[in-house]
Amino acid sequence: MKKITSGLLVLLLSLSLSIAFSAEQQTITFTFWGNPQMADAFQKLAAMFEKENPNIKVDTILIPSKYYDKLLTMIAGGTAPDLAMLAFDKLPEFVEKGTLLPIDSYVEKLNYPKADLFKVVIDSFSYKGKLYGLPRSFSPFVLFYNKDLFKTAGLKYPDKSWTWSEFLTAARKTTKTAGGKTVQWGFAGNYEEKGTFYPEWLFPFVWQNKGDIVTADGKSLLTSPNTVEAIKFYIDLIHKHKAAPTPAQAQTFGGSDALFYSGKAAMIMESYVLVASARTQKGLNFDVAPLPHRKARATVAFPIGYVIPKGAKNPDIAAKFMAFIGGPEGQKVIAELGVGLPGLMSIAKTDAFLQPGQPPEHSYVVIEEAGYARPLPADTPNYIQWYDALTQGLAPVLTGSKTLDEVLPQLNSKIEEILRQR
Amino acid sequence: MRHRSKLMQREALEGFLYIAPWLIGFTVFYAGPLIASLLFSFTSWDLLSPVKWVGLANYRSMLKDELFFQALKVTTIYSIFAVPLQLIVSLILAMLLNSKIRAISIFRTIYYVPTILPAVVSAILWRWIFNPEIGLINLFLKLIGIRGPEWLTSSQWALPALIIMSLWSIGSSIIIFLGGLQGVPDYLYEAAELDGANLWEKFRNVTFPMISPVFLFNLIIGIIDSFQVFTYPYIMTEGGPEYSTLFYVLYLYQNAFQYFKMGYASSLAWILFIIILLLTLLQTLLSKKWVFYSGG
Amino acid sequence: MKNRGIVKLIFLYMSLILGATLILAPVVWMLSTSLKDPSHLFDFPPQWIPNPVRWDNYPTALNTMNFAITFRNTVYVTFMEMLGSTVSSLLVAYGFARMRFPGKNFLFMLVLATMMLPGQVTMVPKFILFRILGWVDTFNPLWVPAFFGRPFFIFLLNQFFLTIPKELDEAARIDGCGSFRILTRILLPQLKPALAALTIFGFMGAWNEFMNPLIYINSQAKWTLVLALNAFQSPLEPGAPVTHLIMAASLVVALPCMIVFLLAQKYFIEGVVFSGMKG
Repeated sequence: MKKITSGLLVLLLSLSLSIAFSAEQQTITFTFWGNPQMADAFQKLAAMFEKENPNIKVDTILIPSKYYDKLLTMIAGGTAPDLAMLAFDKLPEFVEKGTLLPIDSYVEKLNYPKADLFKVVIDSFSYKGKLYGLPRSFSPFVLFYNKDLFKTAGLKYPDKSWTWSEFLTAARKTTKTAGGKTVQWGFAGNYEEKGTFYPEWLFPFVWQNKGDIVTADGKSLLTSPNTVEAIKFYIDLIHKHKAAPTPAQAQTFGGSDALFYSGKAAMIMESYVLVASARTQKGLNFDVAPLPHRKARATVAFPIGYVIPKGAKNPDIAAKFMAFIGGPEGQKVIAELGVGLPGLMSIAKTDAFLQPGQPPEHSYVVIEEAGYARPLPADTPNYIQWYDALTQGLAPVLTGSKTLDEVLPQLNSKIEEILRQR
Repeated sequence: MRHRSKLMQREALEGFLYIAPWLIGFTVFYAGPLIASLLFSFTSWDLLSPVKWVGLANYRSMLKDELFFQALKVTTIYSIFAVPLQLIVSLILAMLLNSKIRAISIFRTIYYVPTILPAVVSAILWRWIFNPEIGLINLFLKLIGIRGPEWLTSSQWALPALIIMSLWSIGSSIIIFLGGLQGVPDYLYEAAELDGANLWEKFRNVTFPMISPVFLFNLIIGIIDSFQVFTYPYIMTEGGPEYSTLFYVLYLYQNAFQYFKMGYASSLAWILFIIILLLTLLQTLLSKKWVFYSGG
Repeated sequence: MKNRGIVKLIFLYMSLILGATLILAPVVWMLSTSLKDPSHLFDFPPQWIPNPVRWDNYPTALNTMNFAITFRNTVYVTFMEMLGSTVSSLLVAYGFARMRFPGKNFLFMLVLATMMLPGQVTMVPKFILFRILGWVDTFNPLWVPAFFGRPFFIFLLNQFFLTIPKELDEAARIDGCGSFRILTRILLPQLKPALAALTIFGFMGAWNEFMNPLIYINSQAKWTLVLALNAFQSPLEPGAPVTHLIMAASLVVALPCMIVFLLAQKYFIEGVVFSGMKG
């Protein structure tokens, strides 16, 4: 009898103790995508955060593939994470559907250095005047160039003074043919491994010419003179000057990035992230320069950040963790991964990001370019659909089976139709 | 009379007992989601905000959606060409692989390899094969004096390219045909030879009837699968160029997870379901004419 | 007569070898890439024989995948799925093929019908169902449904059952066998090729399953091999090329499938005993 009673007491005691403890410890879930190095980095940050906040546990959930499929399923299925990584182009939709918590009040309460953020980052994660996310990183497009190929052609390296005409000249001078076939291109183009071309690569040229494709208030400027001139400039590189490859040619070599890695292209316009892979190519002497300009300076940026879904069970703690990984300490760890510019200007200027002693020599160029960076117009109506229509519609122009003039008017009406849908 | 109906009752009970696992599983795990998806097809739902009932609106928009018709067209053309091609080639290969020669099991394993290769690897391989400049196919065409098309980057030839590619993953149907072929008794062939039958007659009078149930399986599964093709267009062409490879399920997937239109995607799914169901019923009815069931 | 036999044999071998070469080419390429140094991944013309040979790609790839744990998880899930789907599908198909009961044709059509609705639209409702059951971040959603029959296997077995003459059943029944005995003693031995197919498909289907593990598993400790494989390079952003590691990992993950295929052939297809009414 005594044994049973004391046994029961112990049971009761441990039960109540565990209940007491579990009431104290709170867990938040954080979903993100990335490779194993990124997973390690976030685990490290989670551990650091847990140390400073003993009653909090952070469950980092790496989603290995099809990130949005799973995230949407989680949210729709009632298991929304407390914090989620999100690319800026998905933000408008998520906000429109009422899925995200505005974080302005958290930013103030937690003393987050908002003023230290790059403007393009604030713009990308704000919608209709409210802030919804803090940055992980962003990568503006810059001009990568092959130093050896430039030297051989007797050309000066690209710099801030370059306009479209210097760019074109250099592209033509570094293009080589042999036996009627091109063996080296001045400009690598912007093709994926499978030969697809995405319109995002046209935006820098369009904006540099003071044109636009779709404005923030949902109007198509696809056929406006500045826009057409800019797109024509890009297409002419391929078909008129033959200084850039066609989709089929690029596909042969595994895409535009591969062309640059293997030294078959003198220049490529790519997001700064290319640095990580370019460094692994022994024998590739590369550096970066600002994009050429014409009527204005412009480049594209793809910020990635963290947001708090409305279904989060612990939004306050999530905000604290968000401020930590999006803050100076967290940004430094992420910067070392080489996934792009930190969102905070002060961290961008540190060696953690600039990494002197490793190529590219002029890494600070990207900080300057960040000043001219604009996000893609993801806040326009039915963005994903009109963007897809643009991709499909421009494809024959890239291969050369149709000309720009043939394609643009119809494409313009199609995009206008999509913009009008609701 | 009473005795017979009692026997029938017992057999019916036994029958239900045997299929009980599926019946239960269907009710618990599948019926709910099935009905839910049907209900979703009458809603507008973006997965993030609450569901909104819209009645037949999705089905009405479908009639005005040119991409819907494009997707139907692409998928139907693909099916018409790919299914017969796959059936014929896998049957021929299965017959070859049924030979009792040495090392045949190694050959069988090799022919099954494509099914095991990750889709991304197959995609890379086929991109090379179809490469306009240096790919196998165009090089071969050059030898016989034809200038090969741009294949995957051409709006006319991307779909044919995928049809040709569909022959890559017939390993499963080969195995099934092999299984059927293995079950054909030798004495039937011997009897046919005694009657003086040649290769084609042996095939038509012995082989085909004996494997017809299995042929029906591959035919029906082939149709069902061909209408649900997704992975390769998703990885290799993303529906392009110019929507020429916009397969139905790819379009459905885009609506569900990229355009935030789960309601519309559900209605697309149910239309596809009805199409496949009708085709399958048709095939089943027609099959009574040519399928021979020794156990039926 | 002998000449015709030899010509046929040569023709046979040549066609098989031609096809086999085409098929093995990507495997050779995978092998070659898996041993390359990343700086040579983009060489053009491509390196067929890696130089330098990086044998260490394999241990690196396996470590990155947390191989020991993910392998164990995959084996567990695959075993349970195979066991469940084979046994249950056999029983269900037997019921459909050999028994008569009201509504049979309708129910059989229903079995087929479950294969006709694209999974994308049932994914979220299914997730909600499993969430209510409390099975999110467990292996249960992956293998428990298998114990209730897989439509593909049910249909396949049904067709194979129908190639076995009913006289065999009747003879056994006269001898006093009940339905279950008929299944196990008489019919099963005749189904060896079908069972081989089931084993191969069942194993491969479970081993390479992607969508279900992706949606239901959260903790990395529960990842299957396929998930780990996919995590190597996130498609949402570039990074240092890891194609060489992905190839090494893919080959390791594909190896068990090849082994199962060879074994299944050995024990089922090769082992068909020619007796009784069949051949």
